[in-house]
Amino acid sequence: MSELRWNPLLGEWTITATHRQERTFLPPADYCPLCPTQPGAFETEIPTPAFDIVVFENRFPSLQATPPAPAVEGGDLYPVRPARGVCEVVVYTDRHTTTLAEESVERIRRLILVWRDRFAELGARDDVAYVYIFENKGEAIGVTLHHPHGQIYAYPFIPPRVARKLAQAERHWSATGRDLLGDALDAERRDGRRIVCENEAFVAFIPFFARYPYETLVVPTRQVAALTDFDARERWRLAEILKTLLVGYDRLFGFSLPYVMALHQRPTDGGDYPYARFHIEFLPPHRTANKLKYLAGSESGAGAFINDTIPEETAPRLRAACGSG
Amino acid sequence: MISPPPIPPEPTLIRRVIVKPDGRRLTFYDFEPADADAPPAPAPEEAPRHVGTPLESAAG
Ligand SMILES: [Zn+2]
Repeated sequence: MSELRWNPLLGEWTITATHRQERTFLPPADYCPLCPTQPGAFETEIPTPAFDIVVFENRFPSLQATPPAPAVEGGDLYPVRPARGVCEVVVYTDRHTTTLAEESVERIRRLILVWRDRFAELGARDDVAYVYIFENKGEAIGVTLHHPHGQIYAYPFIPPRVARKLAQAERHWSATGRDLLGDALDAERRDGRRIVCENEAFVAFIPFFARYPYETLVVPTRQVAALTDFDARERWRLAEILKTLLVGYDRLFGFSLPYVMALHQRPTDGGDYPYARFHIEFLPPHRTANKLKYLAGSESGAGAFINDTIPEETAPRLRAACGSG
Repeated sequence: MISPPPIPPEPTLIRRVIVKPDGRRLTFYDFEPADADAPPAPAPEEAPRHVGTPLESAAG
């Protein structure tokens, strides 16, 4: 069962997906549904003995191309809609015990090419308003499978946090004629203290307003709104900076750092978004090697984040770990 | 100023789509290595779609 239920208090949709409770949780190491299927062995999701990168539709999707009719009746106060959309799994490699940080720049570039292809295909669908590419990594984030993989949700609406960021960017664009993230990037580069690493096409920094101690934004130096708009040089530079940043994260903490990686692009609802700028957000929950930041009363109930570190102090540590400071 | 390291030629993405027995789509992405003689830094292959209006004109 799955449907969209309108939350009139916040003006946003909740996706109900009750079948998700059937998910396997931390299966034993000898069976992984994302490993290639070996001859004579139990079949995994991927029916070949080797592969490069694979994308498949999630077995327990929150959103479906042909969703079931909502199981409840809506009304004026509580509109209900079918949970239409697509949920995909992106398997980065056929090797189980690796991470994106350990992979080559070339493999990360291939992943970027796959992301671009998925964005173009899913974004072209009439029922998809926003293509959200992300990765949940590590048990601290609640992942159920350790094989390196990410996910894609193609939503029938623009998700609320994305909509809020776009509204801020639009306001700034109307007032100044400039894109907000571009101005933030300029401010960060002028200041310099929060820059983590950079190359000729991308800059990674812990923003002035960071909510998590080691939250980073990876922003292109050119105003590009989607993966489909980068050129080959920029794709390679993006792969390079992701490699540098991920290696730096692991080096700083001394273990493979859990994180949420979120790609932000223009919506695909047919609207015009001249103020949108592509960026990748990394949200690691760790404050230190053995302390996590939990979303507690202020964050969960009031939406007000409390960061007990300042980015002017965390950024130099991460910059040093990335080898550029 | 050190010039940025050269960029290896980009491979060509090849898709192979299958439909699993339960109807779900699965796509294999394979990559054909680029021609070794190709220029190291290919020119942009697509026009940017949302580069925005020039700041000068927007500012008047
Ligand atoms: Zn595996």
